[in-house]
Amino acid sequence: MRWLAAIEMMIPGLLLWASFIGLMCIHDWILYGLNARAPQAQKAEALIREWLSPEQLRQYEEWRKFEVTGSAGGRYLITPAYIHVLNTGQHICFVPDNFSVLPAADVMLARKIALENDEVGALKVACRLPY
Amino acid sequence: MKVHTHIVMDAHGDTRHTFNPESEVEVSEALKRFDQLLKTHTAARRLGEGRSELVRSFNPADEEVLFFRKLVGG
Repeated sequence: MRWLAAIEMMIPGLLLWASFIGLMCIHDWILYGLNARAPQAQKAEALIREWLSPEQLRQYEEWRKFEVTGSAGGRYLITPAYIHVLNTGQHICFVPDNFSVLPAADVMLARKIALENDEVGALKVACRLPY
Repeated sequence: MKVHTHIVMDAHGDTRHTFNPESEVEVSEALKRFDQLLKTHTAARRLGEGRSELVRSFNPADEEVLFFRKLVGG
């Protein structure tokens, strides 16, 4: 019955992880889904579509997230909520300082431009998320 | 008539300021706006195919320049 005890020990961790994933989904839904029909969100949507590469646009339309290669060579997945550093598995976050009034697509576009043109500068201001 | 655009990300999604690069008056106004915005914003011009370039000085030949506020840790 050691395996049963081992599974029982894993349950709190699994619940914590599931809660985190659930919270991130709700966060994305609030950021993106709930406000997607607002006029400002539609303008931001049109803007980001003009600035993404064809491959990034394909990813964005399919997953609401897209990959960028930084000016120093790092690889990132930009989501509405955070940035996944693909080289290390770390999550980071940086935003324009008026992010609270910006549609999610604007924030994502600012992140893309910053990483693709000044990766080192963007990483200097980025917060490392603890997960 | 040519029309070049400064796009500023804001609470409305964005606000667009257009100017005619062949008009001295409009270019002068655009230069003032650019310099003012650059104090608080990062500027980038679109190169096409998803590529862009940061700009630190006004060039009336840039067809489309996007401004977003300085970045902070989120």
